[in-house]
Amino acid sequence: MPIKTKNILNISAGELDRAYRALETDIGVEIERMRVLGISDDEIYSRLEASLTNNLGSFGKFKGAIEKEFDIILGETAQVESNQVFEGTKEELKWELDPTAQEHCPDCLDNSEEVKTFDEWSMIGLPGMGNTQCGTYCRCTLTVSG
Amino acid sequence: MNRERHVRFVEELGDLQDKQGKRVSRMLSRALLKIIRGMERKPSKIVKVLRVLRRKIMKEAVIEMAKAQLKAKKLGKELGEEKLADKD
Repeated sequence: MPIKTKNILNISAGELDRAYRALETDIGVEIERMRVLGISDDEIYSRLEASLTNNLGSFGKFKGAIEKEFDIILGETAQVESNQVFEGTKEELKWELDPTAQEHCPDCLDNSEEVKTFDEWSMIGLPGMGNTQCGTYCRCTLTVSG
Repeated sequence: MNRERHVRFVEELGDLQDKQGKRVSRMLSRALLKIIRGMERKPSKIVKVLRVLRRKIMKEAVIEMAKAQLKAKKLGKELGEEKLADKD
């Protein structure tokens, strides 16, 4: 079953929503904690504003989650598009390692020694689809062998 | 496909991820700051308002994500087409 980029977007949209809900919870907990410590509303407000301005605490965590999700969706999408040109072909494809990586994960190193059709690679996991130890950060690609 | 082309793809993708992720997180931070500053220094209201505005804020973020995804799609498609052309 080919991966559709719309499905990737739906999953990432769900992750964004989850990150936002976690922010709501975290801020609620932070406020309660400060109240228990006897901190005034005015001071709580100032601290929250400072945290947001400087990307600290819950806000920093939220920002990190958003940026991570963008890394995942854009990486997966580009990889899906670059590899799916071979869908439906019987070409013998080799796994080209990421030329910019200093080191490669064991799965990519193993895959780089194999030649398979698109369907066979799909069963194992296409580059960047998260089936290797380097996960969705994989920037290897498939090319026609020979 | 030559090595340089693959390098270019990885670099352009990394650049896109970095720029778009930061752009949208900044956009969300500005929206949150606006909410917090509109709370007249009353923390009790913040969580409630965040909850009420969740759908609106996240809708904007998903729209931006979809636009960025189109750019990533283009990068991947161009590489894919070149890989196919190399076959011939």
